Amino acid sequence: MTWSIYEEELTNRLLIGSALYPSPEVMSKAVQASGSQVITLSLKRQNPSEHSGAQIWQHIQKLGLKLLPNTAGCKTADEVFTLAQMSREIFATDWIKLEVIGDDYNLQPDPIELLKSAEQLIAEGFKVLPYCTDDLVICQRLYDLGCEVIMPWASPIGTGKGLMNPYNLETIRMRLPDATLILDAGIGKPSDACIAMEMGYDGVLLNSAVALADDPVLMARAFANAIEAGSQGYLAGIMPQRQTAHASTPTLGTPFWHEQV
Amino acid sequence: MNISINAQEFQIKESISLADVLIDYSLKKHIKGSFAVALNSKFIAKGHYAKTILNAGDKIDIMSPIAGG
Repeated sequence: MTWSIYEEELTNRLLIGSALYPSPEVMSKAVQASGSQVITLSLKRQNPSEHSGAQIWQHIQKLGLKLLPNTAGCKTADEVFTLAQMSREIFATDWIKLEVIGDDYNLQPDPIELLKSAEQLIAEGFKVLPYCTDDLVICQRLYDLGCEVIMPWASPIGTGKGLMNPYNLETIRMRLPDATLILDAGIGKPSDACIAMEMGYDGVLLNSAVALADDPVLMARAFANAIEAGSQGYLAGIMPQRQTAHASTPTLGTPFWHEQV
Repeated sequence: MNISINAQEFQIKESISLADVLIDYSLKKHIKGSFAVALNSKFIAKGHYAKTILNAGDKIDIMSPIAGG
């Protein structure tokens, strides 16, 4: 079943990062195995002594996927604005994964700068995909500003801790029924992604969980399957939980030895 | 006069354009592939390199694609 990010129609619900893989070749194979149609990447100062960035960029280009550049490393709205403009020129896309970090320890997004930045970028014609915490009000404010896509974290970037606060994530889904919600960051295992999809999230963005697996290609496939399973589970309509046991086998016609004498 | 490119100090002539500095920097193979430029933390579009004249103390950042999550 198709879905869309800012009018871009997609069939796959996994957005994948391009960092931390053992090699560019493994990155390419894992991304292909994931079936993802969107790949994240970034910009940094070029170091003349190493051209690893150029090599990974060539591999990413060959994949031919929709690019989602991020603003990793930015701490203020001004820094974000400059980097976003640079990204738009290089990657020829209005899409920007808005990251503005407020704390170095857990890389938690700065909500004040995030809102300021989203407003500024939208005014300049960017299509903003903000990475934020699972704070409902921040998510609401971002949506009200014009972010059609909201990307709350599952847990801090790279921790692999999974969904720290399922209640918050479910509440965001319930309160923002029309927003495109993508769970971003902190996902460790395929079941984390599956749970998010069962909640009704539209997609999942991850990187470390695949790149740092012993076998990134196999893990990419596992995530693709988990996301598909969770998505189908949500669409199928999950049965409500019940407090008491209910026999699943009909009691009518049970064997004679169960009959009361 | 002195300017910095990616936090490295360089000496250049007066009244030189950003375009000229970037050409020189490229010839020395410091730039490879795609890049974008910020001058004193403000983005400069490619079309503006030639008309941007540098001043002493200017800070140029040349950014290129890398992997990201």
